[in-house]
Amino acid sequence: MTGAGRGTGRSGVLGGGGFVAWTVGPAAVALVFLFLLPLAILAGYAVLTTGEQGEPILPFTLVSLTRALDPLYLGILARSLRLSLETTAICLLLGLPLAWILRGMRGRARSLALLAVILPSWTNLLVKNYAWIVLLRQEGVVNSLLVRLGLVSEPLPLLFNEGAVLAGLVHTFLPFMVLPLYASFEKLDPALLEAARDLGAGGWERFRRVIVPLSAPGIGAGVTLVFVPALGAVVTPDLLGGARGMMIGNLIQNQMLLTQDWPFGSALAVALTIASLVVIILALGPGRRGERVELL
Amino acid sequence: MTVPVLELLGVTKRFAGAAAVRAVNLVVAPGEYFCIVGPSGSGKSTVLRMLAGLETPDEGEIRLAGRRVDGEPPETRSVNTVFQGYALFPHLSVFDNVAFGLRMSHVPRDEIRHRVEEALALVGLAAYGGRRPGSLSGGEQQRVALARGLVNRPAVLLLDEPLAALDRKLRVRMREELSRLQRESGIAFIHVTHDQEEALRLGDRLGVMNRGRLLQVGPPAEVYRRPRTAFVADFLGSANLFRASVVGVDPPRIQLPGGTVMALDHADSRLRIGEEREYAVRPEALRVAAAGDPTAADRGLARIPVTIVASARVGAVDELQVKVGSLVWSVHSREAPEDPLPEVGAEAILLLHPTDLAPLVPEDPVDPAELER
Repeated sequence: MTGAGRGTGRSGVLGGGGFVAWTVGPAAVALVFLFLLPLAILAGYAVLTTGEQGEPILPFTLVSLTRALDPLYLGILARSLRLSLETTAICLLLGLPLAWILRGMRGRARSLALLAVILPSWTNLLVKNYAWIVLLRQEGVVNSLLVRLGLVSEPLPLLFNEGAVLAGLVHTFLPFMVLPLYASFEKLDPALLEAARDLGAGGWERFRRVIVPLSAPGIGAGVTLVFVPALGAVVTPDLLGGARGMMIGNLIQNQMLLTQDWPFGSALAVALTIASLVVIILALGPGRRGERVELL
Repeated sequence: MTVPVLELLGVTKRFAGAAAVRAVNLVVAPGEYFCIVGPSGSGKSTVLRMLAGLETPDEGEIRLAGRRVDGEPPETRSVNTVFQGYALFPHLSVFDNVAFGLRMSHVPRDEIRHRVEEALALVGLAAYGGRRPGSLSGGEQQRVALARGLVNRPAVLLLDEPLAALDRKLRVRMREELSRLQRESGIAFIHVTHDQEEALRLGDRLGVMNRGRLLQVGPPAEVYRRPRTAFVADFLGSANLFRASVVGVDPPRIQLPGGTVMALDHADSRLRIGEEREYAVRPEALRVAAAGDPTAADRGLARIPVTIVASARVGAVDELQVKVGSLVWSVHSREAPEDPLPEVGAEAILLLHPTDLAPLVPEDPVDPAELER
């Protein structure tokens, strides 16, 4: 397999298979040891018995996996899916016009606007979440403003619910939606939009029939980049969600670090991975269909 | 008289203060093939984009079939465009590309199918409906773009450098195809090109643009033979440009370089004795006769003594350079193969008919500030 071994033509470190080994090699090793191996261990733990200290021991059993299907935990998984989908949808709805506006900007204004979009992702997650607490708590900025304006008599319970989690997640993940969308829009040939106008397509029709199908890769990337990490969110639901905003990530963390039931935590993690995969496949499926021939 | 399909009245467009199109007036009749020809940056594409609605004029009016449209967006205009580079939708099949406009105007399904198939047959792509634009050759894409415009039966079809991207052989074929499609569809074509040969061959009429102005409009043969400005004369082919002084007014006569006096065929009340005027004459309009040849002495031809400075027989055409006074003129004349090629250094008589003499007017002076871009 190694190019050096063949001894013909190219030789040395950069020759043939050697070159491939040196370039792709480190990434492959990292992938195996940092991703595939832990995933395999996790899947293994999920089918082992919980020991006295919560450590995984033989024999193999389906107890943990079955327990993960308990309505209580499925409910949390369902809420996580719903919150992640809502986060993705809101990011998409905000990101599409935002990315479109960015596309129309030139020069300095565009650099500044791009910076404004990227800046939140450079800010520490805790800082972002505490900022929401400052805004949303009982005596926070929003409530005092509402009370002072006489719009409400009592402060509203804005914090420690799903809404607060949603706000925090959208804030965190919006850049991951805007940037791929912007990259896709940038590549869009303006002549195609002009052609669509020329053929009678108004704004909505241009969006639906030209912009969306041609930006499908960017939309797919944005959706995946927001949905998957949102589904695994831990810090944001912990700080902003309270008990009512708990997500599957918090549950897994609790099982592994507090209860120290490693097999059950692993079973939940497996359930999360499968749920993510299902949603991604469902989400990307229609995108591919959209590229097929549009029939009468 | 029928309503013109298209009228431009004093249309002006500025970009960042610089005028790209300046006070263009134009009337196009229904079913006419009109070519706008000019160098890049002359404003011809901007005119086309204003007709399509992709740019809004700063001044003036655009009327489509009598109705003013310059405030309307492209979506509502009965105009379609064949874009430079075609701008076919890569994610749609050929059929869906062609059907796009019909769907936008909510034509019934059956009619869409019928009309798209008809349009594809018209451009010779009947079997291509299911293909993607990416799998087609340049010429085929060009035909799809044409079908996509024609299928909507617009009042005017705009073509922006439609042949520029094709190789030479294909260009010649598509040129004939365009001419046929225009005749068969009866739709007025406005064809923008930088290629003077294209414009001269295709247009029922053509207009020459330079620096934002429409300098001259007319049938190709007429504009070619009687250009109004030095730019038009030069842009539409080679021309011998020269200045001559007016030596008579009634009848009008001018003195050519080298001293020959010739009568003009047109009375011009603006002529003043002693003034200098500029003229153009096409190389093909000139003939050379041997110095002693008596046959050329009739039919009002001017006889100008010249010296041959270069001569070559290129196919059926003799290409000569002759010295007229201090100027050198080109002469392209078609001679019988048995006639001898004039020798370099020989004295000869240049024959020029007054109708082939095009009096030029100076191009309107342009404020340099307007041309910054």
